[in-house]
Amino acid sequence: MNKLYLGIVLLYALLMASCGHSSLTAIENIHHRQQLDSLIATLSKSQVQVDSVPVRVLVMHLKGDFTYYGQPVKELQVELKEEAIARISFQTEKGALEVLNGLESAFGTGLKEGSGPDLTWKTVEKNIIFTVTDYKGNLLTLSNKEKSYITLYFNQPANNKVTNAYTTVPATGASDNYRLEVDNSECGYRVYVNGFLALTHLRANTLGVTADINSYLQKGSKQTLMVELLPGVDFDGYPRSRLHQESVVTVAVHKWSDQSCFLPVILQFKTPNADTMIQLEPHYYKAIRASRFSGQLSATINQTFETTIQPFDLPAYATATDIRKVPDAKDRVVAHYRKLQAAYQSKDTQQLANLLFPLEQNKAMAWHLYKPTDGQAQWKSIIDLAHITDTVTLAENTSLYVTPDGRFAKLIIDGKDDPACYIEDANKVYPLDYYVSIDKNNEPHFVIE
Amino acid sequence: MKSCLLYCLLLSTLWACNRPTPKKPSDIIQIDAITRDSDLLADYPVLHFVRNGISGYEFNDERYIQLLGMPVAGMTIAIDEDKLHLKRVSVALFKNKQDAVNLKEKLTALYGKPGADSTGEFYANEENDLLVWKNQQQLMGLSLPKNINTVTEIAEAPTFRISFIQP
Repeated sequence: MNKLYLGIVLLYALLMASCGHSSLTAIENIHHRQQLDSLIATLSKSQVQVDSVPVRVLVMHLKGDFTYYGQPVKELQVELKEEAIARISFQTEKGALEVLNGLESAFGTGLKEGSGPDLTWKTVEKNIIFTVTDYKGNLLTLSNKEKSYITLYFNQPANNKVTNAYTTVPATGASDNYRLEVDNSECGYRVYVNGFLALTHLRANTLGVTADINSYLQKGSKQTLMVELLPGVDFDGYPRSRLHQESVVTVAVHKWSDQSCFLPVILQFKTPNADTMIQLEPHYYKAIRASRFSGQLSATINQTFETTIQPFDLPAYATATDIRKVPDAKDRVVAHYRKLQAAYQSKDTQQLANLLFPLEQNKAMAWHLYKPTDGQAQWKSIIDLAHITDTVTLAENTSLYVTPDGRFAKLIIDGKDDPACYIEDANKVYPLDYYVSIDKNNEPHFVIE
Repeated sequence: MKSCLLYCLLLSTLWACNRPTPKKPSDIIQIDAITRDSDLLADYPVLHFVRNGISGYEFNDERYIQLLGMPVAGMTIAIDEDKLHLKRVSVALFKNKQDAVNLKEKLTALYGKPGADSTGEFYANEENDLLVWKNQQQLMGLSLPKNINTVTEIAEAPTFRISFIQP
């Protein structure tokens, strides 16, 4: 009887081996650096060729009997950057259709953007690119005679804490996102969502300015919105001192999600006009209904809207103290921005992670807003930016903007509302536009973007 | 010993079952079944649509879309200004003369004889004929090479557009 059991177990072991799942030569099983190292350990010296060693980048070629979704692969090109896998590329000898089927079984349909049979998948750990070169047909005629070319771009240095943190974030389901869309005529404006400055626009006559407001939503479904009308600039670009008579702002809040191609409007309103008509000029017949706030220095309008129930309050809400009661609040906030500036300047990715990673993590945790892949991409762009940074500026004349509840503040340039800290290169300005909260121990933290 | 082996067996069975479930779609988007209210992202969540501008989407995987049973090369979707309905669906067909002729016949059988475009809703270049069909929900325009019956091969892929009529 024991022999029978032993036989069955052996049969299972054989089955497992034949599936290639436990075999390390199956490239689809390489998820991080250690797995690659164990693969290299099984190869002889002659099978590993180091190609070039530029600074912090190692390119090597591995020869052996590998497989990718069951299809034979003879050679891999591996690129390591700062000791983590950055890219693996290879070609299968045949079986393009099998590889495609394998990929789609594992990750769903690929994203096809061109007309050729080229598809991509974005997963938490890597981006997969499938191509078939020198092939005239389309996906309907693709067969196993063709070779497939695969490139795997690893999103994050494997096994580092960033990757591990994001794996704890649950993938989003059918969550809704909210977006502001604002048109203005002869005035500038600021739009606040629950007291957070969500959008500033000081120039006149712009249509369709949008801003995502998910990070400003509060727990529950009731949300508040405030529009502040500002004099803005005149036709020649000079600042106005008072609100022009055609100072009208139209605000719409849209709901959107990746699960629907429609964007229902949940709030739409226009700042009010006066009840009576006024004549534009004496002795001139044309009359208009001017803005109710015409001639004032500024005006505010409050509205409320309802979202689907937001399950989480921002984690920072729990610990934040009232910044208005911290006597040296501005100095503390400036010092915190200085730390960020120094981290970018010295390309200190560890310090950047200390400063900004809790923020990224909180965003994902608090709102389930970002899919893990979005979070990864966002974090990667922060780190990439750190590597190319030339000048990080912290403006001299700054003021502290504090949210009405006193819990969050950010540094803005005096009189301009622009973020005071930014990265400038030849072509572009990247604002480092983060809110800061101060906890009970007087420690500042970056909280939301 | 026996129970240990049984345990091993159970574990390996569990392991064998713990494979990723296939996520490939079984549905095919039939273009003739799309209405003004179709939310394609909700109806086909497993398919990847590419956002195209502010209010449009594109899809171009010929394996998963068909027009009257015929695979098509790509589809562009425009959303209405109210952002709650489809405005237009444009379909790129493959460069296949027989398919184009068959499609014209099928559409004629379904919706009657085609007319010229009197609405100005569609556009065609000089080399093309624009045939228009209309029913209560939609206006359909098929753009074919002018000499479709005489040429052996068509140079430009025909396009088919549906413009949804506001009730």
